[in-house]
Amino acid sequence: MKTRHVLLIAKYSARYSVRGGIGLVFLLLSLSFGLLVAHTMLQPVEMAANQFARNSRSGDPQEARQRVLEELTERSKPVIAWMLKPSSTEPDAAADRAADAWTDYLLDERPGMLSAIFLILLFGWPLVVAFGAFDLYSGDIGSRQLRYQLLRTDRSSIYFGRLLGMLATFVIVLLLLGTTVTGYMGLKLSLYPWPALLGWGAYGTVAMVVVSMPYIALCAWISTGFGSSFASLTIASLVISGVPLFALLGQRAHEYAAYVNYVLPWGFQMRLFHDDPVQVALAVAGCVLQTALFLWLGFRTFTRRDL
Amino acid sequence: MSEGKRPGGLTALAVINFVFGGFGILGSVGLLAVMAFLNAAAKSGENQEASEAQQEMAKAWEQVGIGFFYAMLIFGAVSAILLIVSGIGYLQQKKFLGRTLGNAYAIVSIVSSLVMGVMVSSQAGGGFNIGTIIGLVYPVLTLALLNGTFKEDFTR
Repeated sequence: MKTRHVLLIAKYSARYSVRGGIGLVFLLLSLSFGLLVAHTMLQPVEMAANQFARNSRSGDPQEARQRVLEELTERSKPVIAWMLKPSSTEPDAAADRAADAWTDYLLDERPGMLSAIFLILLFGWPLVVAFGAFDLYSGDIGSRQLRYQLLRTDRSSIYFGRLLGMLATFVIVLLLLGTTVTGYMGLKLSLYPWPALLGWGAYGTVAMVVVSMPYIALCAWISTGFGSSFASLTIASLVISGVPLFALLGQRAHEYAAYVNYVLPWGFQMRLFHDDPVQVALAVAGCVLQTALFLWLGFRTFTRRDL
Repeated sequence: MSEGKRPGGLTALAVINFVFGGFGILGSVGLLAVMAFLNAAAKSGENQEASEAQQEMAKAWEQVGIGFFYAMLIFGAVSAILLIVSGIGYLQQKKFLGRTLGNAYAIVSIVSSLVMGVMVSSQAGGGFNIGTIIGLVYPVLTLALLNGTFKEDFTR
Protein backbone atom coordinates (compact mmCIF):
# COMPACT_ATOMS: atom_id res chain seq x y z
CA MET A 1 0.00 0.00 0.00
CA LYS A 2 1.35 3.43 -0.97
CA THR A 3 0.19 6.55 0.87
CA ARG A 4 0.41 8.67 -2.30
CA HIS A 5 -1.81 6.21 -4.16
CA VAL A 6 -4.29 6.07 -1.29
CA LEU A 7 -4.61 9.86 -1.20
CA LEU A 8 -4.92 10.12 -4.99
CA ILE A 9 -7.60 7.40 -5.10
CA ALA A 10 -9.43 9.03 -2.16
CA LYS A 11 -9.50 12.38 -3.98
CA TYR A 12 -10.75 10.97 -7.28
CA SER A 13 -13.17 8.58 -5.59
CA ALA A 14 -14.87 11.42 -3.68
CA ARG A 15 -15.01 13.56 -6.83
CA TYR A 16 -16.20 10.73 -9.08
CA SER A 17 -18.97 9.66 -6.70
CA VAL A 18 -20.78 12.92 -7.51
CA ARG A 19 -20.11 12.52 -11.25
CA GLY A 20 -21.35 8.94 -11.04
CA GLY A 21 -24.68 9.99 -9.56
CA ILE A 22 -24.63 8.08 -6.28
CA GLY A 23 -22.71 10.82 -4.50
CA LEU A 24 -25.12 13.40 -5.86
CA VAL A 25 -28.17 11.51 -4.58
CA PHE A 26 -26.40 11.00 -1.24
CA LEU A 27 -25.61 14.72 -0.95
CA LEU A 28 -29.24 15.64 -1.59
CA LEU A 29 -30.58 12.93 0.70
CA SER A 30 -28.25 13.60 3.62
CA LEU A 31 -28.57 17.40 3.53
CA SER A 32 -32.35 17.24 3.13
CA PHE A 33 -32.69 14.66 5.93
CA GLY A 34 -30.51 16.61 8.35
CA LEU A 35 -32.21 19.92 7.63
CA LEU A 36 -35.68 18.37 7.78
CA VAL A 37 -34.94 16.96 11.23
CA ALA A 38 -33.77 20.42 12.35
CA HIS A 39 -36.84 22.01 10.72
CA THR A 40 -39.18 19.57 12.50
CA MET A 41 -37.63 20.44 15.85
CA LEU A 42 -37.26 24.19 15.41
CA GLN A 43 -40.44 25.10 13.55
CA PRO A 44 -42.80 24.41 16.50
CA VAL A 45 -40.63 26.65 18.71
CA GLU A 46 -40.75 29.47 16.17
CA MET A 47 -44.48 29.12 15.56
CA ALA A 48 -45.36 28.84 19.24
CA ALA A 49 -43.09 31.78 20.04
CA ASN A 50 -44.79 33.92 17.37
CA GLN A 51 -48.21 32.95 18.71
CA PHE A 52 -47.10 33.62 22.30
CA ALA A 53 -45.63 37.02 21.35
CA ARG A 54 -48.87 38.02 19.63
CA ASN A 55 -51.00 36.95 22.58
CA SER A 56 -48.78 38.28 25.37
CA ARG A 57 -48.84 41.91 26.39
CA SER A 58 -45.12 42.55 26.07
CA GLY A 59 -44.88 41.00 22.57
CA ASP A 60 -41.14 40.49 22.99
CA PRO A 61 -40.22 37.60 20.62
CA GLN A 62 -37.03 36.75 22.55
CA GLU A 63 -38.91 36.39 25.84
CA ALA A 64 -41.64 34.41 24.06
CA ARG A 65 -39.08 32.01 22.53
CA GLN A 66 -37.43 31.49 25.90
CA ARG A 67 -40.76 30.68 27.60
CA VAL A 68 -41.84 28.36 24.78
CA LEU A 69 -38.46 26.63 24.92
CA GLU A 70 -38.73 26.09 28.68
CA GLU A 71 -42.21 24.63 28.28
CA LEU A 72 -41.16 22.36 25.39
CA THR A 73 -38.10 21.18 27.32
CA GLU A 74 -40.21 20.24 30.34
CA ARG A 75 -42.72 18.41 28.15
CA SER A 76 -40.08 16.49 26.20
CA LYS A 77 -38.08 15.37 29.28
CA PRO A 78 -40.13 12.19 29.95
CA VAL A 79 -39.88 11.17 26.25
CA ILE A 80 -36.11 11.72 26.12
CA ALA A 81 -35.64 9.91 29.46
CA TRP A 82 -37.62 6.96 28.08
CA MET A 83 -35.45 6.96 24.92
CA LEU A 84 -32.25 6.98 26.95
CA LYS A 85 -33.28 4.35 29.49
CA PRO A 86 -31.96 0.83 28.80
CA SER A 87 -34.87 -1.36 27.71
CA SER A 88 -35.87 -3.81 30.42
CA THR A 89 -39.05 -5.55 31.47
CA GLU A 90 -38.21 -5.20 35.19
CA PRO A 91 -38.67 -1.80 36.93
CA ASP A 92 -35.26 -0.41 37.85
CA ALA A 93 -35.12 2.71 40.03
CA ALA A 94 -31.36 3.19 39.58
CA ALA A 95 -31.70 3.06 35.78
CA ASP A 96 -34.55 5.58 35.97
CA ARG A 97 -32.44 7.97 38.05
CA ALA A 98 -29.48 7.61 35.66
CA ALA A 99 -31.74 8.27 32.63
CA ASP A 100 -33.19 11.35 34.35
CA ALA A 101 -29.71 12.71 35.12
CA TRP A 102 -28.64 12.10 31.51
CA THR A 103 -31.79 13.85 30.22
CA ASP A 104 -31.14 16.85 32.49
CA TYR A 105 -27.59 17.02 31.17
CA LEU A 106 -28.76 16.97 27.53
CA LEU A 107 -31.69 19.35 27.87
CA ASP A 108 -30.68 21.71 30.69
CA GLU A 109 -26.89 21.78 30.88
CA ARG A 110 -26.37 21.65 27.08
CA PRO A 111 -28.34 23.43 24.33
CA GLY A 112 -31.41 21.18 24.56
CA MET A 113 -32.80 21.74 21.06
CA LEU A 114 -29.44 20.87 19.52
CA SER A 115 -29.24 17.74 21.70
CA ALA A 116 -32.72 16.68 20.52
CA ILE A 117 -31.74 17.25 16.87
CA PHE A 118 -28.60 15.13 17.28
CA LEU A 119 -30.53 12.33 19.02
CA ILE A 120 -33.09 12.15 16.21
CA LEU A 121 -30.33 12.36 13.59
CA LEU A 122 -28.65 9.38 15.26
CA PHE A 123 -31.76 7.26 14.62
CA GLY A 124 -31.89 7.94 10.88
CA TRP A 125 -28.26 8.61 9.99
CA PRO A 126 -27.14 4.94 9.79
CA LEU A 127 -29.64 4.40 6.96
CA VAL A 128 -28.42 7.53 5.20
CA VAL A 129 -24.89 6.08 5.49
CA ALA A 130 -26.05 2.98 3.60
CA PHE A 131 -27.24 5.17 0.72
CA GLY A 132 -23.89 6.92 0.55
CA ALA A 133 -21.47 4.02 0.96
CA PHE A 134 -23.19 1.01 -0.61
CA ASP A 135 -21.37 1.28 -3.94
CA LEU A 136 -17.81 1.70 -2.72
CA TYR A 137 -16.62 -1.33 -4.72
CA SER A 138 -19.56 -3.43 -5.91
CA GLY A 139 -20.37 -1.47 -9.08
CA ASP A 140 -16.79 -1.61 -10.31
CA ILE A 141 -16.44 -5.25 -9.27
CA GLY A 142 -19.52 -6.06 -11.36
CA SER A 143 -18.31 -4.12 -14.42
CA ARG A 144 -14.72 -5.43 -13.98
CA GLN A 145 -13.39 -1.87 -14.14
CA LEU A 146 -11.09 -2.33 -11.15
CA ARG A 147 -8.79 -4.35 -13.43
CA TYR A 148 -7.70 -1.12 -15.15
CA GLN A 149 -6.76 0.43 -11.82
CA LEU A 150 -4.92 -2.72 -10.76
CA LEU A 151 -2.49 -2.20 -13.64
CA ARG A 152 -1.18 0.89 -11.84
CA THR A 153 -1.77 0.29 -8.16
CA ASP A 154 -2.44 -2.46 -5.61
CA ARG A 155 -5.65 -3.71 -4.00
CA SER A 156 -4.84 -2.24 -0.57
CA SER A 157 -4.46 1.26 -1.98
CA ILE A 158 -7.77 0.96 -3.85
CA TYR A 159 -9.56 -0.41 -0.76
CA PHE A 160 -8.30 2.20 1.71
CA GLY A 161 -8.24 5.05 -0.83
CA ARG A 162 -11.94 4.68 -1.61
CA LEU A 163 -12.78 4.36 2.08
CA LEU A 164 -10.87 7.52 2.88
CA GLY A 165 -12.65 9.36 0.05
CA MET A 166 -16.03 8.25 1.41
CA LEU A 167 -15.12 9.27 4.95
CA ALA A 168 -13.98 12.69 3.68
CA THR A 169 -17.34 13.12 1.89
CA PHE A 170 -19.18 12.29 5.14
CA VAL A 171 -17.05 14.72 7.13
CA ILE A 172 -17.80 17.52 4.63
CA VAL A 173 -21.56 16.79 4.62
CA LEU A 174 -21.74 16.60 8.43
CA LEU A 175 -19.70 19.79 8.81
CA LEU A 176 -22.06 21.54 6.40
CA LEU A 177 -25.09 20.28 8.33
CA GLY A 178 -23.66 21.09 11.75
CA THR A 179 -22.60 24.59 10.69
CA THR A 180 -25.96 25.36 9.06
CA VAL A 181 -28.09 24.19 12.00
CA THR A 182 -25.86 25.74 14.66
CA GLY A 183 -25.54 28.99 12.70
CA TYR A 184 -29.30 29.17 12.16
CA MET A 185 -30.04 28.56 15.85
CA GLY A 186 -27.51 31.18 16.88
CA LEU A 187 -28.40 33.86 14.34
CA LYS A 188 -32.16 33.47 13.97
CA LEU A 189 -33.41 32.05 17.24
CA SER A 190 -30.78 33.25 19.76
CA LEU A 191 -31.96 30.61 22.23
CA TYR A 192 -28.56 29.79 23.70
CA PRO A 193 -25.28 31.65 24.22
CA TRP A 194 -22.91 31.34 21.24
CA PRO A 195 -20.02 29.58 23.07
CA ALA A 196 -22.35 26.82 24.37
CA LEU A 197 -24.01 26.46 20.97
CA LEU A 198 -20.76 26.32 19.00
CA GLY A 199 -19.11 23.94 21.46
CA TRP A 200 -22.04 21.51 21.51
CA GLY A 201 -22.51 21.81 17.73
CA ALA A 202 -18.86 20.89 17.16
CA TYR A 203 -19.07 18.04 19.67
CA GLY A 204 -22.23 16.68 18.03
CA THR A 205 -20.69 16.88 14.54
CA VAL A 206 -17.62 14.95 15.69
CA ALA A 207 -19.89 12.37 17.40
CA MET A 208 -21.85 11.95 14.15
CA VAL A 209 -18.58 11.39 12.24
CA VAL A 210 -17.48 8.80 14.85
CA VAL A 211 -20.79 6.95 14.64
CA SER A 212 -20.67 7.00 10.82
CA MET A 213 -17.32 5.17 10.73
CA PRO A 214 -18.48 1.64 11.67
CA TYR A 215 -21.47 1.88 9.34
CA ILE A 216 -19.23 3.01 6.45
CA ALA A 217 -16.87 0.11 7.22
CA LEU A 218 -19.83 -2.30 7.29
CA CYS A 219 -21.05 -0.99 3.91
CA ALA A 220 -17.49 -1.37 2.58
CA TRP A 221 -17.40 -4.99 3.73
CA ILE A 222 -20.80 -5.76 2.18
CA SER A 223 -19.79 -3.90 -0.99
CA THR A 224 -16.66 -6.03 -1.43
CA GLY A 225 -18.78 -9.19 -1.32
CA PHE A 226 -21.11 -8.42 -4.22
CA GLY A 227 -20.73 -7.59 -7.88
CA SER A 228 -24.03 -5.76 -7.96
CA SER A 229 -24.70 -2.28 -6.58
CA PHE A 230 -28.37 -3.08 -6.06
CA ALA A 231 -27.60 -6.22 -4.05
CA SER A 232 -25.09 -4.27 -1.97
CA LEU A 233 -27.59 -1.48 -1.24
CA THR A 234 -30.35 -3.94 -0.37
CA ILE A 235 -28.21 -6.01 1.98
CA ALA A 236 -26.56 -2.99 3.63
CA SER A 237 -29.96 -1.36 4.26
CA LEU A 238 -31.47 -4.64 5.49
CA VAL A 239 -28.60 -5.31 7.90
CA ILE A 240 -28.49 -1.76 9.26
CA SER A 241 -32.24 -1.46 9.75
CA GLY A 242 -32.75 -5.16 10.58
CA VAL A 243 -30.49 -5.23 13.66
CA PRO A 244 -32.59 -2.85 15.83
CA LEU A 245 -35.81 -4.32 14.44
CA PHE A 246 -34.71 -7.86 15.29
CA ALA A 247 -33.64 -6.74 18.78
CA LEU A 248 -36.96 -4.98 19.35
CA LEU A 249 -39.09 -7.92 18.22
CA GLY A 250 -36.83 -10.54 19.80
CA GLN A 251 -37.01 -8.78 23.15
CA ARG A 252 -40.65 -9.76 23.42
CA ALA A 253 -39.68 -13.42 23.33
CA HIS A 254 -36.43 -13.18 25.26
CA GLU A 255 -34.99 -10.24 27.19
CA TYR A 256 -31.40 -10.94 26.09
CA ALA A 257 -32.35 -10.36 22.43
CA ALA A 258 -31.82 -6.64 23.20
CA TYR A 259 -28.07 -7.34 23.10
CA VAL A 260 -28.35 -7.94 19.33
CA ASN A 261 -28.24 -4.14 19.10
CA TYR A 262 -24.57 -4.31 20.09
CA VAL A 263 -23.69 -6.11 16.84
CA LEU A 264 -23.74 -2.62 15.34
CA PRO A 265 -23.34 0.72 17.17
CA TRP A 266 -27.15 0.89 17.66
CA GLY A 267 -26.71 -0.47 21.19
CA PHE A 268 -24.34 2.21 22.40
CA GLN A 269 -24.23 5.07 19.87
CA MET A 270 -26.38 7.39 22.00
CA ARG A 271 -23.82 7.14 24.79
CA LEU A 272 -21.62 9.40 22.66
CA PHE A 273 -23.81 12.14 24.15
CA HIS A 274 -23.63 10.79 27.72
CA ASP A 275 -22.91 12.99 30.75
CA ASP A 276 -20.37 10.46 32.04
CA PRO A 277 -17.02 10.75 30.17
CA VAL A 278 -16.30 7.04 30.82
CA GLN A 279 -19.47 6.09 28.93
CA VAL A 280 -18.47 8.41 26.07
CA ALA A 281 -14.99 6.85 25.95
CA LEU A 282 -16.51 3.35 25.90
CA ALA A 283 -18.87 4.32 23.07
CA VAL A 284 -15.98 5.77 21.05
CA ALA A 285 -13.94 2.62 21.73
CA GLY A 286 -16.91 0.50 20.59
CA CYS A 287 -17.20 2.46 17.34
CA VAL A 288 -13.45 2.22 16.69
CA LEU A 289 -13.39 -1.53 17.43
CA GLN A 290 -16.33 -2.24 15.14
CA THR A 291 -14.80 -0.06 12.43
CA ALA A 292 -11.56 -2.04 12.70
CA LEU A 293 -13.42 -5.37 12.60
CA PHE A 294 -15.55 -4.50 9.55
CA LEU A 295 -12.53 -2.96 7.80
CA TRP A 296 -10.53 -6.13 8.35
CA LEU A 297 -13.38 -8.33 7.11
CA GLY A 298 -13.83 -6.12 4.05
CA PHE A 299 -10.09 -6.02 3.33
CA ARG A 300 -9.92 -9.80 3.64
CA THR A 301 -12.77 -10.25 1.13
CA PHE A 302 -11.46 -7.59 -1.26
CA THR A 303 -7.91 -8.93 -1.40
CA ARG A 304 -9.02 -12.54 -1.92
CA ARG A 305 -11.86 -12.24 -4.39
CA ASP A 306 -11.79 -12.31 -8.18
CA LEU A 307 -11.88 -8.76 -9.49
CA MET B 1 -14.34 14.71 -21.02
CA SER B 2 -15.10 12.31 -23.79
CA GLU B 3 -17.68 13.69 -26.20
CA GLY B 4 -21.11 12.13 -26.06
CA LYS B 5 -20.44 10.08 -22.93
CA ARG B 6 -22.97 11.24 -20.34
CA PRO B 7 -21.90 10.82 -16.70
CA GLY B 8 -24.35 9.03 -14.39
CA GLY B 9 -24.51 12.11 -12.17
CA LEU B 10 -25.89 14.21 -15.01
CA THR B 11 -28.58 11.59 -15.68
CA ALA B 12 -29.42 11.59 -11.94
CA LEU B 13 -29.57 15.41 -12.01
CA ALA B 14 -31.98 15.26 -14.99
CA VAL B 15 -34.25 12.75 -13.22
CA ILE B 16 -34.27 14.88 -10.05
CA ASN B 17 -35.08 17.91 -12.26
CA PHE B 18 -38.11 16.11 -13.70
CA VAL B 19 -39.33 15.09 -10.24
CA PHE B 20 -38.86 18.56 -8.73
CA GLY B 21 -40.26 20.18 -11.90
CA GLY B 22 -43.39 18.07 -11.58
CA PHE B 23 -43.74 19.04 -7.93
CA GLY B 24 -43.13 22.67 -8.91
CA ILE B 25 -46.02 22.63 -11.37
CA LEU B 26 -48.23 21.03 -8.73
CA GLY B 27 -47.04 23.72 -6.30
CA SER B 28 -48.04 26.47 -8.72
CA VAL B 29 -51.49 24.93 -9.04
CA GLY B 30 -51.55 24.78 -5.23
CA LEU B 31 -50.71 28.48 -5.04
CA LEU B 32 -53.65 29.20 -7.32
CA ALA B 33 -55.80 27.23 -4.86
CA VAL B 34 -54.37 29.38 -2.02
CA MET B 35 -55.40 32.41 -4.05
CA ALA B 36 -58.95 31.13 -4.23
CA PHE B 37 -58.84 30.40 -0.49
CA LEU B 38 -57.62 33.93 0.25
CA ASN B 39 -60.48 35.38 -1.74
CA ALA B 40 -62.90 33.20 0.18
CA ALA B 41 -61.27 34.16 3.50
CA ALA B 42 -61.47 37.85 2.60
CA LYS B 43 -65.17 37.50 1.81
CA SER B 44 -65.94 35.42 4.88
CA GLY B 45 -64.07 37.94 7.02
CA GLU B 46 -67.14 40.12 6.64
CA ASN B 47 -69.45 37.45 8.05
CA GLN B 48 -66.89 36.03 10.56
CA GLU B 49 -67.03 32.49 9.16
CA ALA B 50 -63.31 32.02 8.54
CA SER B 51 -61.00 30.96 11.35
CA GLU B 52 -58.70 33.44 13.05
CA ALA B 53 -55.64 31.89 11.40
CA GLN B 54 -57.22 32.11 7.93
CA GLN B 55 -58.08 35.76 8.42
CA GLU B 56 -54.58 36.49 9.75
CA MET B 57 -53.08 34.89 6.66
CA ALA B 58 -55.41 36.85 4.39
CA LYS B 59 -54.47 40.08 6.20
CA ALA B 60 -50.75 39.26 5.95
CA TRP B 61 -51.07 38.76 2.19
CA GLU B 62 -53.05 41.98 1.86
CA GLN B 63 -50.11 43.79 3.45
CA VAL B 64 -47.61 42.20 1.04
CA GLY B 65 -49.80 42.99 -1.95
CA ILE B 66 -51.59 40.79 -4.42
CA GLY B 67 -49.18 41.80 -7.21
CA PHE B 68 -46.35 40.21 -5.25
CA PHE B 69 -48.38 37.03 -4.87
CA TYR B 70 -48.84 36.83 -8.66
CA ALA B 71 -45.12 37.51 -9.16
CA MET B 72 -44.28 34.58 -6.82
CA LEU B 73 -46.74 32.39 -8.71
CA ILE B 74 -45.06 33.26 -12.01
CA PHE B 75 -41.58 32.74 -10.50
CA GLY B 76 -42.63 29.29 -9.26
CA ALA B 77 -44.09 28.27 -12.61
CA VAL B 78 -41.04 29.57 -14.51
CA SER B 79 -38.71 27.65 -12.15
CA ALA B 80 -40.69 24.45 -12.71
CA ILE B 81 -40.63 24.84 -16.49
CA LEU B 82 -36.90 25.66 -16.42
CA LEU B 83 -36.31 22.52 -14.34
CA ILE B 84 -38.06 20.28 -16.84
CA VAL B 85 -36.56 21.91 -19.95
CA SER B 86 -33.04 21.94 -18.49
CA GLY B 87 -33.52 18.29 -17.47
CA ILE B 88 -34.04 17.47 -21.15
CA GLY B 89 -30.94 19.57 -21.88
CA TYR B 90 -28.88 17.56 -19.36
CA LEU B 91 -29.90 14.30 -21.02
CA GLN B 92 -28.94 15.67 -24.45
CA GLN B 93 -25.85 17.42 -22.99
CA LYS B 94 -26.79 20.68 -24.73
CA LYS B 95 -25.00 23.88 -23.77
CA PHE B 96 -27.97 26.26 -23.94
CA LEU B 97 -30.83 23.90 -23.10
CA GLY B 98 -28.88 22.17 -20.31
CA ARG B 99 -26.20 24.33 -18.77
CA THR B 100 -27.58 27.83 -19.47
CA LEU B 101 -31.19 27.03 -18.55
CA GLY B 102 -30.04 24.97 -15.56
CA ASN B 103 -28.08 27.97 -14.29
CA ALA B 104 -31.08 30.20 -15.02
CA TYR B 105 -33.31 27.89 -12.91
CA ALA B 106 -30.85 27.96 -10.04
CA ILE B 107 -30.61 31.77 -10.05
CA VAL B 108 -34.39 32.28 -10.38
CA SER B 109 -34.99 29.79 -7.58
CA ILE B 110 -32.39 31.28 -5.22
CA VAL B 111 -33.63 34.83 -5.84
CA SER B 112 -37.30 33.90 -5.36
CA SER B 113 -36.52 31.97 -2.14
CA LEU B 114 -34.61 34.93 -0.72
CA VAL B 115 -37.25 37.46 -1.80
CA MET B 116 -39.98 35.24 -0.27
CA GLY B 117 -37.94 35.02 2.94
CA VAL B 118 -37.39 38.77 3.18
CA MET B 119 -40.64 40.24 1.83
CA VAL B 120 -43.30 37.81 3.07
CA SER B 121 -44.10 37.50 6.77
CA SER B 122 -44.26 34.15 8.53
CA GLN B 123 -48.05 34.59 8.99
CA ALA B 124 -48.37 34.57 5.20
CA GLY B 125 -46.29 31.41 4.88
CA GLY B 126 -42.99 33.20 4.15
CA GLY B 127 -40.16 34.37 6.36
CA PHE B 128 -36.67 32.97 6.60
CA ASN B 129 -36.50 29.59 8.32
CA ILE B 130 -34.81 26.20 7.92
CA GLY B 131 -37.46 25.41 5.28
CA THR B 132 -35.98 28.24 3.19
CA ILE B 133 -32.52 26.66 3.55
CA ILE B 134 -33.92 23.26 2.48
CA GLY B 135 -35.40 25.01 -0.57
CA LEU B 136 -31.97 26.45 -1.37
CA VAL B 137 -30.10 23.11 -1.23
CA TYR B 138 -30.98 21.91 -4.73
CA PRO B 139 -30.51 25.23 -6.62
CA VAL B 140 -27.14 25.81 -4.92
CA LEU B 141 -26.08 22.24 -5.66
CA THR B 142 -27.19 22.67 -9.30
CA LEU B 143 -25.21 25.89 -9.62
CA ALA B 144 -22.09 24.26 -8.13
CA LEU B 145 -22.32 21.12 -10.25
CA LEU B 146 -23.11 22.79 -13.59
CA ASN B 147 -20.21 25.19 -13.20
CA GLY B 148 -17.80 22.70 -11.65
CA THR B 149 -18.21 18.94 -11.86
CA PHE B 150 -20.22 18.83 -15.13
CA LYS B 151 -18.87 22.00 -16.74
CA GLU B 152 -17.13 20.18 -19.58
CA ASP B 153 -19.92 17.66 -20.23
CA PHE B 154 -22.20 19.95 -22.22
CA THR B 155 -20.68 19.38 -25.64
CA ARG B 156 -23.55 19.95 -28.05
